[in-house]
Order: sequence, then C-alpha cells, then structure tokens
Amino acid sequence: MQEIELVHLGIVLLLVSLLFQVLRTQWTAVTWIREAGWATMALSLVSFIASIVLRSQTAQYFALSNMYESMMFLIMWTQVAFLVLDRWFRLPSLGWPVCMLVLVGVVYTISLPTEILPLQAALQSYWRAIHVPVIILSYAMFTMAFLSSVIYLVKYLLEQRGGSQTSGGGPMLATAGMPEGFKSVESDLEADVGGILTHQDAHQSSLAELDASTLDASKDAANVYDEITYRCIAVGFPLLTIGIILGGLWANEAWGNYWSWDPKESMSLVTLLGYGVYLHMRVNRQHPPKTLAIVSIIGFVLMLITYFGVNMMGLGLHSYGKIE
Amino acid sequence: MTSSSLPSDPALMQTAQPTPPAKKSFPALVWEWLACFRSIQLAIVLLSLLAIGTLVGVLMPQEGLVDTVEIKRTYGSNYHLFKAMGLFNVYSSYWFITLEVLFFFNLLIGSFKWLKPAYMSATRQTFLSPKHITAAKDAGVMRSPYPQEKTVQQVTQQLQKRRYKVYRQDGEGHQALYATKGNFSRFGPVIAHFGILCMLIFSVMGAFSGFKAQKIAVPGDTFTLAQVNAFFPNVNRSVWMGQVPNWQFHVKDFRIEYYEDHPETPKQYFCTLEVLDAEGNLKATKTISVNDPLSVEDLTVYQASFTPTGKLFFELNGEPKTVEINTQFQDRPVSMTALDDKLSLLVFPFMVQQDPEVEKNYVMLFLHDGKGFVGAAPGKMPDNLKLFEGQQGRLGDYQLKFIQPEIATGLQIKKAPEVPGMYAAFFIIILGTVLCIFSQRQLWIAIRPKASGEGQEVCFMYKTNKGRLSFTQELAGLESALKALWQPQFSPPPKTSTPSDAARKEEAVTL
Repeated sequence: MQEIELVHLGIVLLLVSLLFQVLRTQWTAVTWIREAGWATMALSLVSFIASIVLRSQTAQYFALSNMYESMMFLIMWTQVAFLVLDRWFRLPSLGWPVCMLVLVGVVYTISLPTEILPLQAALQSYWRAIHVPVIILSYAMFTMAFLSSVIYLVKYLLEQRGGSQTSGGGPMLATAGMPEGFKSVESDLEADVGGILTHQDAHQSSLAELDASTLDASKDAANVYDEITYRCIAVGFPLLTIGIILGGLWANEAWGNYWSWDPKESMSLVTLLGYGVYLHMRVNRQHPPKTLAIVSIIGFVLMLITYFGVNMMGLGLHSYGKIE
Repeated sequence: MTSSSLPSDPALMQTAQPTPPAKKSFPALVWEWLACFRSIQLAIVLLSLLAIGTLVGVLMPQEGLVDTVEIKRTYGSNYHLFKAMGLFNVYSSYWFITLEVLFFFNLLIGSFKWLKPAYMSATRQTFLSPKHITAAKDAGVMRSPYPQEKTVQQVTQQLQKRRYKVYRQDGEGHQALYATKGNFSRFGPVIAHFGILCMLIFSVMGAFSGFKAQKIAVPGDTFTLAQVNAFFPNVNRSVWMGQVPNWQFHVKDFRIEYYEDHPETPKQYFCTLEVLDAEGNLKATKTISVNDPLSVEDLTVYQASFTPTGKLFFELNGEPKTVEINTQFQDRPVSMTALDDKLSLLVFPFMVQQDPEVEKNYVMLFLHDGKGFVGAAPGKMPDNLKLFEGQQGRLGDYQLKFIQPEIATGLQIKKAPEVPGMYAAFFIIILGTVLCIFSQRQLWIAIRPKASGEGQEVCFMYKTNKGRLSFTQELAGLESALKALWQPQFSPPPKTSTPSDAARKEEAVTL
C-alpha cells in the first residue's frame, strides 16, 4: 500500500468514527456505539502512523521535517490524546468535535506540498526526533483543552438559558432524562452501607460514574469539561516547557544560542506565558470556570499563531515549516 | 472537593489558636511589605504583560533581525517615536527589562510563600475527629458490620492497594486514619519556580562574562580572537568582565557535501579545526559540522555558515586583487570592497550550484558610489559585468578578470561559562513541571462504633489539589470495594455497584 492510500484509508475510518461519535451523543448508554467510535478512530490512527513509517522509509530519515509531516504528527497526537481521555472519562460530547477537527486537519494537510526533500544540514540531528514530537504533543493537548473549553461554554450557556432542563443540551449534547448512574447513586443513600461520595451532596457522585450516561448528562457535565480542560493544560504546559527547553539545547548545539528571540521562539514563549496565566488563575481560585475557558481559548489562538502564523511569515531560524 | 469547599485546612483546624497582638519583628515587617510582590494576582498580571510584550516583539520588526534601513523606510516619521518606545528593540527595552525584574521578584518571593505550606502539607500527618469530618462538605459516611479493628484493617488494606500511605491514631472513642499519596507533587511549582530563578541568574552571569565571535576563514588560515573583527561581548564592553583566551585557531580543511540526487542542496558542512595555546601546543582538534561543534574548556566553536562564503581572486587593471565575501545584500552573501575614495566594488558570487546543468562559479559585478549603484536609472539595470572563471571584462574605468573563488567556512566561537548552570536550571524546571502533572490526594477517616451498637460508622473526608475527576473515580472504586466487603452482611443486596464495576473503575484511574 502506498503512503497516500494509507492516509485516504485513515480519512475513511475517521468518517466512520465521526458517524459513530454523532450517534453516541444520542444513544449515550449504548456501549457498542461508543466502542465502535473508539475503535475506528484507533484504526485511522494506525493508518496514519503506517503512512508516516512508509514515508520515513522512503525519505531515509525520520519524517518530521516540514509542515506536512508536522501536521500529520499533530493529527496523530490529537487522536492519541482523545483516545486516552475517552478511555478514562467517557466523553461523548468530545468525540464528534475531535473527529471533525481531525478531519479538517487531514484534508488541509494533504493539500500541502508532500514532496520529500533532502534534509538541511541544521535538521540533521537526533534532537529533531526529540524536540519536535514533544512540542507537537503539547499542541495536541492544547487542542483537546480548546475543544473541551468550547464544550464547557456551550453547556454552560445552555444551562444558563434552560435551567435544570438543559442538562442534556441541544441535539448533539442531548441525553434522555435522568441518567441511570445518577438514579442508582440516589438509591444508595437509603442503603445500609452508605457511601463515601453521597453524604452531603448526592449529585457530586455523578462525577464518579464512568459511564457517559452519567458524566455527560448530569448537572455537573459542564464542570466535567472544565476539569478536562484543566487536566489537558496541566499536561500540555509541562510538555511545552520541556519542548522549548529541548529546542534551546538543540539551538545551542546547532547555532550557539539557546535563545535568539526568533519569531517562532518568541511566539512559543507567548503561548507558554498564556497557559501560565491560565494555570495561575486556576490556582488562585478567584476566577469562574467560564473565564478560565475563555483564557484557554485565547491560549489556543496563541498556539495557532505560533504553529501556523509564524510558518506563514516564513521568517527566522525556524523557516523549515514555511507554508508556501 | 478542593480546599475551597472545606471548612478550613485540616492541618490548621487543629492548630489555629487566637494569638494576642504582638510587636512585629523587622523581618516580619519586611515580609509584610513584600506582600505585594508575592501576590498571585501580580504573577497573573506580569505573565500577561510579558506575553503581550513578547507578542509586540514578534509583530514589530526587531533591529538585529531586520535591516534598520528597511525599518526606517517602513515607519518613516514614526520611526524615532517607536524607537524611543523600545518597539524595535523590545527584548532589551527599559519596559521589558522592568517587567522581567518584577517577574523575578514575584517568583522569588512567591516561591518562599509557597514553600512552607507545600512542605507542611506534604510531610505532616493530621487526624480528624468524626465531628470534624461530618461537618465538611466533601465527606461521606459508610457503615461496616464488623468490629472496629477489622474495619480499620479492611479500610487500610483497600487504601494501600491504591498506593496510599496510611497513618493511624487512637482517638477518643474512635480510630483516626490519615491516607495520602502524590505528596511530592506539592513541590512541583516551587521546584519549577526555583529552576526559572536559577535560569535567570545564570543567564545574567553569562551575559557579563560570555562573548561571541564570528570569523570567515579559508583552509590554511590561522587566527586569534584578538584578530577577529566580529567580536561581541554579551553586554556593553564598559561593564563586561570576561576574559578572552589568547589561543590560535587553525583551519586545516573545509568541504561541503551535496546530496547526490539534489546537487543544489548542501548536505553537510565539514571543517577540520585545530586549537592551539599561545605557545602553539595543540589543545584540541576535530572535524566539526552543523550540530556537532568543538568544545574546549568553556569555549565552543560552531560550524555556523549555512551558505558558502569565502574569497574571490581577481585581477584589477592587471594587478592581483582579493576580495572577501564580507556582507549581505538582500539576504545574499556579497563582497563590498572600496576601490578608491568614491567607488566600491560590489560582487555577487554564484558558486553554490554543483549541478553540471546549472551555471556555476560566476560573479556579477557592480559599482557603488556610496549613494547607489552606478548607472542605475528607473527601469534600467545598473552597469554590471558577468564573469565566469578565467573571463575578463570592463566595468567603468576598471579592467577586471575573475581568476577563481575560494570557498571559506563561517565559524562562530562562543564562550558561555553559564552552560553547566543553565543545563542544571533546565533540568530543575523540567523536574518541577513534570511533578506539577501529578496531584496530591488526602483522605481523613474516622471509625467509631455505631450509635445502635452494632458495627462501625466510617466517616470519610477527602481532598485533592487537582485531578478532581480521576480522584472522584478512585473514591468511587474504593466505595464499591468496601461495599462489596460490607454489603453482604446487610439486606437488601446492593443494586448497582459490583466488584466488577469497581475493578473496571480501578483500571481507569491513574491520571
């Protein structure tokens, strides 16, 4: 199979996954729909990985040296991040937006020049295989945080408009009635054994249920996505920090400077500072989740400028990823 | 579940006592005065301002990265105003440095502020009474049918299974347990901040003693740093305190490798170097390339040129004339050499291509009178001369013959005594930020006999500094496991949670 055929196969699998993810928002308790959505997403990831392996074999170097290849990595890391999060937390509202975003990303990526070019001298270093994937993984985490923030805001606004009826949200966010897990927890209150999570605030315990039927439909659904945003940023921030430091070490070896205030470097610092603001606001505990979600979205915009904006300018030392 | 939802910090609940007003010591007064610097709100403001400042530096052309003439042309009469505002040198402007200094103090004092609570929270075991626990919001009560000792063992076992450290204390009519894990994560922010402080300190140290020098050299050249024109201390010479070694650098060989299937693209630049001390004794030798520099003590020599540069040999009116490729014109390496008081010779070399299909090793020659190209007119190419190797021609009053080029290497020599310190600071920052990913989880448990006299009442209170969702999942798993142990003794049987549920939840929790 050719590299491009594998990419096309991945796109088809993504489309199938998107279908399941949309169905999942309607039938949250149907396990096989959830699993099918997850599995097809995982298969599309395998397909993309295979395409990059083939490309690397053809190029005879680790294929992560231009915009096409780094976009493919961003797509793959985003898929990995979603698959892990979904396995842990069962997040039906996040499934279809991730699928949509990844699909748009792949379609854009295959429109970029895909020609394999010889590697510039500056890129011939083991640092390339360390620094770049770490940075891109942090971008993937920020992408997940962005989507989660948007879902939080949507759910928050729906709750504001519709009061208690809005726990299910609109067509894409809807679930039917009181979730099973929630009911069972309430009934536990009357059981002899009692519970750790049920003493004062019964609906808190809905957070504890892993099933989508609980998590996504409860009154705490918005808060769940606030929490997911925080966890994604809490993982993405150290990764970006590590990535920038690794880049500094590489730059010191290649150019004799840790830091040159090159546009890419400066913008990555701006992104880091932006998410630093988010984390400090979170620690401060004086800012409502709505504000934090907006700051997370601003952070994502800064990340986009770092990733795409600077590449479009094609300025500075990081001109390898220039978008023609 | 966060501390904000607790009545107060449990550690403080047992120790907080009203204290009589006392005369404050001088250090206490200073600490109070510094309160404004340790505020997290100030940290948020400073981080935001630094981000905005850096963004301005990206959006505005920065001198050093963009030609000053070009900036002047773009901004016209506003140039001087913007220059005075530091917009063309953002990162060395007075306001950006002020922000950095404020940030430094905020980090320094803020880190001290966080250190003590982090240490206390991570190392201190606190035990709460059932009364305290049941008053808290994030708390729950379970009922065990077994005697107290067995219940304590069961709870302890379940907690240890989940990698909690469990401490026990005899209370008045109850048994108190304190379970905790992930305490190390409390030090993450403090360690990361300490690393940033170290980085800032070492970078300042490096600034006052480090330097950079650049040299274009051809094979056979020997030079010392004193002979290098492009020598740049990291700060202004008047305050610079560094030493310049009197070593000699000898370029033995330089070659460029090209890709066989892409002959126009350089694959790698190799330069064989010798470093000798003042007496001429060999200190080090190495063939360097891009990404593979030569390090001698705290001096490093980099293969810096990514485009071929060097010398061009001519005959000028019959006399040998050598010119160096010594500057750039519109991002192209060029040679600018004074011919007399008025005119300079500008040479554009075209020597990169190794493809036999492509013209190679030729030069384009122009004359420049200090104001512009000679013979330039709107819509007209200035007077010029194109010469291949061995060719000759006339440009203005000059008869020129292009003999041959000599490709040179561009070397960068850097002294950076701060490198070990910076690397250590980087490691500390990485360690701190990685620790920040994890969360500290705490459980306070009190086990007392039920009022009815049969079995035990087990009161739980829980707290985490982050990872609320996965912590709640873990508690649900704990709850299910305990239910599985205790429920069969009661009737009716459990309706929902089963051991298999618990096992499934357990698998899902390890964020």
